[in-house]
Amino acid sequence: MGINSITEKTLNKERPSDIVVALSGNPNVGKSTLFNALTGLNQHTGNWTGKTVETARGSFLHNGRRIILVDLPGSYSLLSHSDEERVAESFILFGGADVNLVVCDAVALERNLNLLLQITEISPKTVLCVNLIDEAAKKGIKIDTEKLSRRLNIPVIPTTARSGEGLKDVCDAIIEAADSNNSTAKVPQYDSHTEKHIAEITNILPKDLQVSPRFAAIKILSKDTVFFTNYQKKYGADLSVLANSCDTIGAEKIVGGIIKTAEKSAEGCISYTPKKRRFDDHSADRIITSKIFGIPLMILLFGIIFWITISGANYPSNMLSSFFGSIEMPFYEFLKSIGAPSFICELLVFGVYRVVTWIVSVMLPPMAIFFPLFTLLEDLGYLPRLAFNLDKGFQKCRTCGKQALTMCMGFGCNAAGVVGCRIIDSPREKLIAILTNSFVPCNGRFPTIITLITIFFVGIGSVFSNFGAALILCFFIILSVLLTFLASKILSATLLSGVPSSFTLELPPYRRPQILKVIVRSVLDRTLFVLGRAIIAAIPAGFIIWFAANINLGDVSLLQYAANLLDPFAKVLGLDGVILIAFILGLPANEIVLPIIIMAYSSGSALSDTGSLTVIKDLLVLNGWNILTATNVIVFSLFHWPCATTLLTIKKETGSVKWMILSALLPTAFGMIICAVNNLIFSLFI
Amino acid sequence: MILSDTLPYKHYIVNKVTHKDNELRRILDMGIISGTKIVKLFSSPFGDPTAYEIKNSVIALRKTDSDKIFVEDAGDNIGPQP
Repeated sequence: MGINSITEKTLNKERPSDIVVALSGNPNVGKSTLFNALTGLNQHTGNWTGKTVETARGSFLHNGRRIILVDLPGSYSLLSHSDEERVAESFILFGGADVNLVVCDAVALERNLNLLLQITEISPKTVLCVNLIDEAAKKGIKIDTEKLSRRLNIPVIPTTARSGEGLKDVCDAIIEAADSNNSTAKVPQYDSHTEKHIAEITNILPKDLQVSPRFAAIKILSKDTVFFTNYQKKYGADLSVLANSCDTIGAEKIVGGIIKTAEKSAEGCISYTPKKRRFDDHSADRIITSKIFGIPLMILLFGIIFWITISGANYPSNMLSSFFGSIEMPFYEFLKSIGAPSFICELLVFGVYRVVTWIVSVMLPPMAIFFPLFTLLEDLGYLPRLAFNLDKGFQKCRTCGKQALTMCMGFGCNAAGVVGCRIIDSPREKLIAILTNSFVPCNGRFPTIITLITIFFVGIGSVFSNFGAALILCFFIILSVLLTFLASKILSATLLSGVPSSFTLELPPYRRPQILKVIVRSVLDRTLFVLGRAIIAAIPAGFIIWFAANINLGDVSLLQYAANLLDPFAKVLGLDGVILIAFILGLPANEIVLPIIIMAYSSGSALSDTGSLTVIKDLLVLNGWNILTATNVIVFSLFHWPCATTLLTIKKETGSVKWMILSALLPTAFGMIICAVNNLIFSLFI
Repeated sequence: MILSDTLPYKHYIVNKVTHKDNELRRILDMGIISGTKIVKLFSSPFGDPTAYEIKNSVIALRKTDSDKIFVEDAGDNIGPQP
């Protein structure tokens, strides 16, 4: 991940009057809320609310000017150098933004000013947006933004992004800042020793320097090699020669200077009238993180989410599948009537149409319920508490507690989880988090797992079936979390040994989620995004499977032939050849594993209604499935190679095929061992 | 004394942060720098990490990190402030 990946994606200005704005801020200050409020739905998808893992872009018009907003990953500082902070810094430096918009939390303004001052050091064309004014007011905190604006010499706008307050002023300020030329914004003042060095270096800097001299001097004094490399890539000049000939200034002096300047700037701009005993704010947290309730509450919460997902998805799933089933024959007849050869009709209807409609009817309802629920949890601020509660486990594995967050992102989509690992500073801990991300099931695997649990464990349509299914699903999720720990521990002890780096995690205040917005956004950004990708993968897969099932090699179909070939090995795992083939063909998207199994089993025979669970159960049992097969398919679904998208993402994030291969081998080894042991135990005792 | 040994809901002042390099930067970024007030709040179900209040935000630190942060008692005469 170099600067190229960022600059390439820079939105091009269509007109010279267009303004590119880099939006930055600490995490949890409502930066994404502001971004969404300003750009509306006119933005690129794939932005996972609360955690901008890529730079999301959106544009809007204000007073006839087009403003292109680039949402950078949340960062506390540009100096700490996690990958996502690098993304933010590189964009601010090289991305060609006209104006920087920095969002600060009014409650913790002083600390938030650290980032602002690092940005004004790069470019004086900066607008400060003091957000969460309402939250601060509740705590009795008042910000004198006019005074602060005079101190910092930049526009300072108070906002409440949730309700849209102050947004118009922000837009006005952006245009004003873009058009104004002279600006000498406040920059950090360092101690006299450092300032002397800065003065010396600015004198010998190249004349054609493309960044602020003061900023370059700091980078040279702190020997920031990544900056030198990026600068050379972009502008050709090598600044590292200068660094070799000067002293090094330690982090404490530089950060100290920034913090002292922030303190001084904020002094007198913040007034505080205590409204109540302040520690009361943490009473919810004391329960949520308590010894007795912490972990059970966490399991209960996820149990409830699973239960709602399973119960809520049942009915629409059935409706969709009977709807698609009812138009299957008319569709077939229609194709015939327009003169398509029967071979093409069968390929399109029984191959492509069936796989695609299966995916829509089985995947869409649970995703459309799970994603919003999960986003609500995220919006509420629960996920950092989850990471807080689980951190001891990650400590024991000598990894980073933020891995809990990337693990949670994996529940949505493993590829997103892998990209999310950028929030982890230490390269070693980041690699462990990436390699173990696919140990938790993504949304593409949930429906398969839920279907099998319903069919084989709790019985279809029984009174307690949804409740029981949620309970069993919880068990499997706990298993996947435990194995994430185990795999992390093994990696930590062998290939990726080392000591854990320091760990800081902010627990932001709980915030009432904006329910309607959450639903709209999670359906648009996540559900349709993931579903779309699944369908794109399913269409060619439908073709291939249909061909494999219908082209004969001797007296068996190609699919059957391959399945027979794998069968002896699969039997050791308590699976069968068809299942293993389905997992292999399911590489593009895990969603299509079960449809492939069903299609392979039913090839040759006319299957009336593939959507009905009873029909599926009969078909599976007819092909020798029992509770062991179902268990092992669930286990293998949890622990096998990640989907193609995730694998490619891993290759991109780690920059190495070696790690990509390991990320496939590791879970597969776990899955195979567990399945084989299950099979052995089952055959010995039952 | 070290931050790990402080009593909950009492005010302390950070004296020295003894982390190195990037880790030091990360701790400082959170506002934990000498002269700042810090209050221990609550711990995770397994006793570690622990959440601290600093400059109006809540930051969780592992014991290995809070062991490296030295503080001094601010006395209880410091009232609630932002």
